Amino acid sequence: MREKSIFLLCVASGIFLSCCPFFLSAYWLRILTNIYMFAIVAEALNIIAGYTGYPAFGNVVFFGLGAYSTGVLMVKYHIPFPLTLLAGIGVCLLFTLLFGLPVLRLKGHYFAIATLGLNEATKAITDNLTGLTGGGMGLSIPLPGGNVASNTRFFYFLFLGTMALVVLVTYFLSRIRFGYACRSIRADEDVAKSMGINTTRIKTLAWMISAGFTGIAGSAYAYWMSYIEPSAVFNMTISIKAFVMFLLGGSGTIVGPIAGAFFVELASIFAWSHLLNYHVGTLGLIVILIVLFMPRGFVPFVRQKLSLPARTKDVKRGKGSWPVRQDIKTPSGLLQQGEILSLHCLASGYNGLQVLWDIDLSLKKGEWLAILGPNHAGKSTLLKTIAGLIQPFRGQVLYQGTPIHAWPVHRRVTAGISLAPEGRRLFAGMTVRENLMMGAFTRDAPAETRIRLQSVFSLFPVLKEREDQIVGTLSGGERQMCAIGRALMCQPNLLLVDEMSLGLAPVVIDALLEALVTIRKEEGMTLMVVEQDVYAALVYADRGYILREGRIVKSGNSNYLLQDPSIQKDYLGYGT
Amino acid sequence: MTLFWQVLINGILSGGLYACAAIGFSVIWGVMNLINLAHGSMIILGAYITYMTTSTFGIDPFLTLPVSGCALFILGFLIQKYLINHVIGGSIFMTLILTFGLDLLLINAYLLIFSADLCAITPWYAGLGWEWGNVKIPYTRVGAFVFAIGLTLLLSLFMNRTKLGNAIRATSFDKDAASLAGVDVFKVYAITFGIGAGMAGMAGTLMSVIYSFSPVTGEIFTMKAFVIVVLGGLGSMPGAIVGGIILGLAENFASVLLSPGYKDAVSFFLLVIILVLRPRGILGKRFYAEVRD
Repeated sequence: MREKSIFLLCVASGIFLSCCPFFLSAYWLRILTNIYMFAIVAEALNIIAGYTGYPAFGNVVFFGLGAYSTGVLMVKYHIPFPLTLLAGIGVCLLFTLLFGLPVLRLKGHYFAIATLGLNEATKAITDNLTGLTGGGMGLSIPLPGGNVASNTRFFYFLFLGTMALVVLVTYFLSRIRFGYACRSIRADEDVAKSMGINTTRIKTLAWMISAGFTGIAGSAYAYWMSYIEPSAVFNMTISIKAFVMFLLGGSGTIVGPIAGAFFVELASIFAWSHLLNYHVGTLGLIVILIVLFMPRGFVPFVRQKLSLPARTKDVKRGKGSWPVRQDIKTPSGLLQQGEILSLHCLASGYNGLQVLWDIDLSLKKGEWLAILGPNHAGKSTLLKTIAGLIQPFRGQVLYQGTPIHAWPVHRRVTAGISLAPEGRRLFAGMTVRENLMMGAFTRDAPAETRIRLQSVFSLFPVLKEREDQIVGTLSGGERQMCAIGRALMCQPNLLLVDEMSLGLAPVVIDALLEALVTIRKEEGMTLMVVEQDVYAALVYADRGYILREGRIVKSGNSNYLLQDPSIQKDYLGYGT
Repeated sequence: MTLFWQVLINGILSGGLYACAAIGFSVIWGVMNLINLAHGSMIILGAYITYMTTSTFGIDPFLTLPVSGCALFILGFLIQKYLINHVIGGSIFMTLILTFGLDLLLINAYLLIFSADLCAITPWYAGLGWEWGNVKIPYTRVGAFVFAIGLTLLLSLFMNRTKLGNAIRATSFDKDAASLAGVDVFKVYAITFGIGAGMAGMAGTLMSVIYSFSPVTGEIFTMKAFVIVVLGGLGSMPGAIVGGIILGLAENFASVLLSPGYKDAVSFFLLVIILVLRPRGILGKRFYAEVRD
């Protein structure tokens, strides 16, 4: 139903725009023609950047190629305009074929820059082939015959028709397999490849279609303006305006870029006529305001739409913008003597995907707590929520009686909460020593830090030997030691350890556990350890919590849990 | 042969300056995965600051380095803190467009304040230089080269030897892990952008002694910075020097061997070729923030 009404709206506005020449002044027709031109460029960009996810920043090169194909062929060889239009498309397609293969291998910024480089290089060549292109002097192209009014109308309909065509083509492409292939490339090219999509072919095709339409716009522009020069038609501003338009309207939507073109061009005409001296700056200001205040409409549409279809609310980083239930007062009656951490009715997850439900948990000072459970039970999510890497949806995190769920991570570190994250997460290009020193970032006393470093070295002597090696050269166990050492450097009160034993040999796991035992004995540190290796975890821990599907299903003393028949059966592989 | 030496020396001298002009861009890109399209305009701002300071107080342009550096650091810090930090996690489109908007604002501001005329700074020693046979080496170019390389090395030292520098590097490798180490990532971002802008400002000062400039000449420096970063590898300081000198040599030889008009075309062809052959740059390794993609 909704689609039908949008379709009707499009048809109605098409009819309306076709009638415009009969009642609008030449001035406004010219403005509309200009808008259509930008709409074509923006929609063409949408095909490669919006749908396929390749930010072709230098797409204006096709505009220039189209313009110069028409210009050169008409001026030097006296070929009629319609044929030069086709020739322009041909040149653009050839160019894409030639450069598409190597350049489309690049991704993200690199692709953007490569296309930008192509544009600048082509511009410079056009500038220098004076014999053919007139160089910096530009080319004067013969006007179409007929009077001014009929010419105005001719270009009006030429651009309007092309715009309608590019919209129809985009609509058509988005409905067929090709469109799905494009979107899957945007979402994850490797996955698309493994699904049997010939991504190179799809990408090249998408870019060719985009190039062809941009070329038409350039060709028609040359004939319309009857004068072209390299700096005008290879002008990066055209590309960037097109980017703004399609982002504003919504990348990867069909009519979005058209709507964006209308908005940006009308705004910039307003700026031209009212604020002549500030016109460039006004455009800049509009761009900045759009990015800052309207990003939810179109920001990472690409990511939102594809990777997380169920995304309901974007949990913003920074200060207090997530919905935290504030009505829960600190349950002072429950605050037990010596309690260091307690969670109340905690719900947490990622970007609208809830992982944890109603977690109530408390931890006494000096205690060693094991968090157990199968994969995807939410164990790591729990630790990340306590450390502050993700924000809870609801509920409270109390640290030494203070609610900390609105604190940024670094503040929690300063307060004494330290996490040795899953997968080590060492700073790859830095040495062991540099990694460890980073752990003491919040400590300001260098002498104290040096002593601390020595005590970490005495805990893990192998790190001392490897001190000046880049961490990439370490073995898995050494990396884990480095990660734990780094987490210890800030002298935490509460150490959170995530999946320490993953992929390590039993001997190494024992060494790591021994180190934790030592440090706990020496410093009275509180430990919260997430483990796969249930037996190892429970042997050292005082208490344990079992998580399943985001909820606590069992808790108790280690001995009690070790005796529990269901745990013996599920995790330890014996019992009945 | 004289010509060869002249071109070689010119290439190396301008290459050093290019390195300095690119390093701020490289650091910002490397640490935050952010392309600062306003980089060239920041270089131009540095040049204007030098222009104003020298014409008002009559001091040597090289002495204005701290002024342009500090002014641009503050500007960059504030831009990152109040603008870019709000969109930094989003798509690369948004940050590209945002910095482009900034670029337009800056250009417009220069046009209003300084007009569109070309400016040039000519200290008393501008025309002087060493001469060996027919090879001429102007003092200004040597001065700019020495300062440019010096500043780049200083930044390298800062990044590798200081606590803050290490925090910036750590953030670029893994921002979550850095925050777990107690680093305020957003503050580090603001400082990083400040450093990038400050380097751009100082590069602008050095540039102003050699080239004339106007509000719109910044764009070409953004492009050159791209080329150099791609040549030398993202976030790498030695890479920037190598990339800058390669670009300087390529441009100077191209303008002699082909024609001066091909100077820019050559650098962009070089860019495309290097990107295609070695997407990580000549000295580049998989490095810094881009790994996050």
